[in-house]
Amino acid sequence: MTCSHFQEQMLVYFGQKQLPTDLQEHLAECTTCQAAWKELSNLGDRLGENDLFHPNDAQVDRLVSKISSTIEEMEQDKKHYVLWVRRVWHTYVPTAAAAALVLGIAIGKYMTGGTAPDSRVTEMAASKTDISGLYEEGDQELDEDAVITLIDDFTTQHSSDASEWLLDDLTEEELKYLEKSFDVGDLL
Amino acid sequence: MVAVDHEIVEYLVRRAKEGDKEAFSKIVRMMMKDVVATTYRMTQDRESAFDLAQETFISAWQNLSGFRQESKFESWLYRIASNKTLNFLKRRSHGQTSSIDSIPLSSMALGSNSHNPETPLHQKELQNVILNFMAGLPPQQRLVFDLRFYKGRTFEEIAQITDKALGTVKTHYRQAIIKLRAFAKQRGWRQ
Repeated sequence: MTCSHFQEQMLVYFGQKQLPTDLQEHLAECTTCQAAWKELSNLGDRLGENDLFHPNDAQVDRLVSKISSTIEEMEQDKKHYVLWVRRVWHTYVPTAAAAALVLGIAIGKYMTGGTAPDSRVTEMAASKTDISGLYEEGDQELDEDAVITLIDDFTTQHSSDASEWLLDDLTEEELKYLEKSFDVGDLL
Repeated sequence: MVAVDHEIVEYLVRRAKEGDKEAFSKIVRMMMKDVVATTYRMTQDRESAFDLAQETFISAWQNLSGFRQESKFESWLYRIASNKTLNFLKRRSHGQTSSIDSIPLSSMALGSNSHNPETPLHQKELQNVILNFMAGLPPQQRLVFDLRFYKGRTFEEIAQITDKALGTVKTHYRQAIIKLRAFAKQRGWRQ
């Protein structure tokens, strides 16, 4: 080991009482490095001990008590939070679960194709009734304004498919009558 | 350094993990002085040191369930303290709190001792000198120097605490000692 290597390595061991064996071996033989190590060790003695920076007992007491009360407050807050969660759990969660279940069943039925055709049929049936209601007793002609209003309402409720459903709903006879009496393109 | 019985600490930590606040309070009492000593040397300000020590212990309590007892509790605690202190120094250097550079070092150290009237004058002077020296080190070097020289931690432990590579830690320490020698030369300590 060279002196420069020792003197570079000794910096890492500053503050330590024992050097590694290879450094010790060099130190035992080299007076230059002995002087350098001694100087460094004396420097360490000048820096004092860790307890030089310790707070006194009264300060420690104050800090410990502050920390304890903060922890106590935190624990109280945690307890309140747990109680709140429990209350919410018991009150709202069953309601939400029931709602989710109903919604789930409805979506399930819709996805498997159970509900939509039924409702379409229902709507169509209802529209048929409405159209039948447009004939006044003993009157063979349809009221034009009433038909337009009916189609508008139906379209608003059922989007673009509505006109097709409505046409499906009409009998051949009613359709012919409409084609003859109105501009069907404008109506739809 | 305050001698800490690791078996007692381990036992208290186990109890504290089960929610025993008294056990944790005992840990705080056992380790408070050492933690404050580090935060004080790092920040050069006693009030900030107290605040950081408090934050460290509260954070330790909050995260105790995450401590797996694979490493020493002290190392884990110093890791929290180091992170908090380095963040504090970063904020302070960005001007969010008063900058360490803007405070005259002589008044800083003496002023900080006004909270501890029991400290003898020669010790105050020594504290002042050490704080002067440490203020001249970058935060990471300051932390490594503190943990190695004053706390007697091994480089491996320091690497774990600071989350740095072993080589980096050794380099920080070596650089700190080079600066210490220059500081001592400046003060005529080597004559």
